[in-house]
Amino acid sequence: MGKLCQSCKKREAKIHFTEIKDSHKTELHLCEACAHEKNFVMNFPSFLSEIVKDPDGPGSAEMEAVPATCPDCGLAYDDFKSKGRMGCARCYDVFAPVLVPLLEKVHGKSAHTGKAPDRFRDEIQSRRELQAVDDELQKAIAEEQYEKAAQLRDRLRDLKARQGANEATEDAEEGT
Amino acid sequence: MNLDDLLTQSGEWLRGVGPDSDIVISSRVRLARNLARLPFLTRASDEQRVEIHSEVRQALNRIRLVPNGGHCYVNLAESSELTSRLLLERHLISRELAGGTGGRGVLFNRTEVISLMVNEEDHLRMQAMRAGFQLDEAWDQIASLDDRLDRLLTFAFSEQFGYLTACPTNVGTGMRASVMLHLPALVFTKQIDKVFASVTKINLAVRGFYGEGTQASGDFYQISNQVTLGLAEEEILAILKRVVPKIVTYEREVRDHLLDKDRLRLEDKIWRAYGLLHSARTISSEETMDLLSAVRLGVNVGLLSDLDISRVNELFILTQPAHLQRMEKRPLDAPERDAARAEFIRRQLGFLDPPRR
Repeated sequence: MGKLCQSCKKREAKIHFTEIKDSHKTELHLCEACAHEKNFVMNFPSFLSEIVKDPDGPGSAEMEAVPATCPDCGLAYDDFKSKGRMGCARCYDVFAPVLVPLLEKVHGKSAHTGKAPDRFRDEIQSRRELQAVDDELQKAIAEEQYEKAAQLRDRLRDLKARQGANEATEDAEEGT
Repeated sequence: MNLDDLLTQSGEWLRGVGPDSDIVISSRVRLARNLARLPFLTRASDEQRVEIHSEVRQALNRIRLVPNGGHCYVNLAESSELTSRLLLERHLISRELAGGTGGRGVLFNRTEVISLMVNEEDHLRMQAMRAGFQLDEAWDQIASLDDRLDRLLTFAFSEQFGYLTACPTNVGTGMRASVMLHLPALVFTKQIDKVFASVTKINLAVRGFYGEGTQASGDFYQISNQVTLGLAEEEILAILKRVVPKIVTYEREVRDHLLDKDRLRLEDKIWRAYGLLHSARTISSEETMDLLSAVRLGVNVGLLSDLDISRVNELFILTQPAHLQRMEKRPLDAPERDAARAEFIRRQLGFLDPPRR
């Protein structure tokens, strides 16, 4: 038999936690029954609700912007808060105001930059291209490189015009 | 192919040889995907669950998993608990899928490099698992499978949040990349906590042999990304490709140090483990993992040169409870399993007559 549960000191510890907080490490070894009782097994959802309660988390303004349930799947906001799971694709839009700060806590960012399905690929490529030039432009402005900024502004305008034209041709082609 | 084929050998990722495979057992990349038009599983009705199951299966039937070789689909709703456990022990399915209910299953190919779980936490979870340190190869393989499935299925995706998943911790790329490391020297010299501290500091997770919530056994550790959103897949892989070689080098340096400065203590540990596996008539799963770890180290540092490394590797899986019971073709209680395990180890390592298969 392995380590004994630190809580009941009777059963074998089967669930092991290591928490590292401010470079201080604490270990916890529990049996399944005690871990359940202490609500340690599903630690992500409780972590989620901690974040939602967090003073730095979504404020009351964001909370008000969120409907009580998702119109597509019927998931209640309270349910999401307690279980930490989304009900359907629509939930991501519906709960976006509270989700964004949450995602920033978990992932550090809230916008996807990776692979995309075929049906989104062109659109995303154009948007990322524009974003990259715009980022450069903002940087040039911040660094007071006005000549470079002017060039970038022109490039951004051309790019937008070209992408607009492409979309118009595509629409026309689809129409024929 | 059928399930009994699983008993005669282990998956290619464990048997095979890959870059740095003395320390990096396997590299795995997993993607989570959901069908856009149906709710995630926690909100799906029984009928919708069946619909998801059949739509995903139809798509899987229409693509070829790998250029050649057979594959196998196991419908877990119609399988015994022993079968679920067997697949779990082989890393072909997760605990969540094994313990789930309703229409769900797994498709995998003969070499067990690719496995696709249907109706796990998400509608589809697909993974590629390669021997040794081959994250890019695993990624290329699973990305191409994802492209082919994308032509047949409409996956839930938003421009802002990326691939949408049941749990927001997976949203974006939906990707979990992980490497399984064997780090006996770092454990033996109590250096392992230093590794964990630095790895967790850069947002990577450390897990045991059987993933989430399992304790490290046999000195195996899985290191994987936590962040799935805001980084491209290649950027996530780059983090692991930067960190893993450092851990591998550290483990090698400590092995060299032990051979050079503390040889007697190292030899004693390895030969005692060898002796116990050679002589034991009854042995628990936990003790087996510990002793096999020392023996595996012994083979890799050249102290036990007459043992075949792939046979040692296979034992980590083939001595698990469900495997033993499938081999014996009957349910075994714990003491019976411990006796069967000791005998199987002695046969597999050539201490007894050749294995009867």
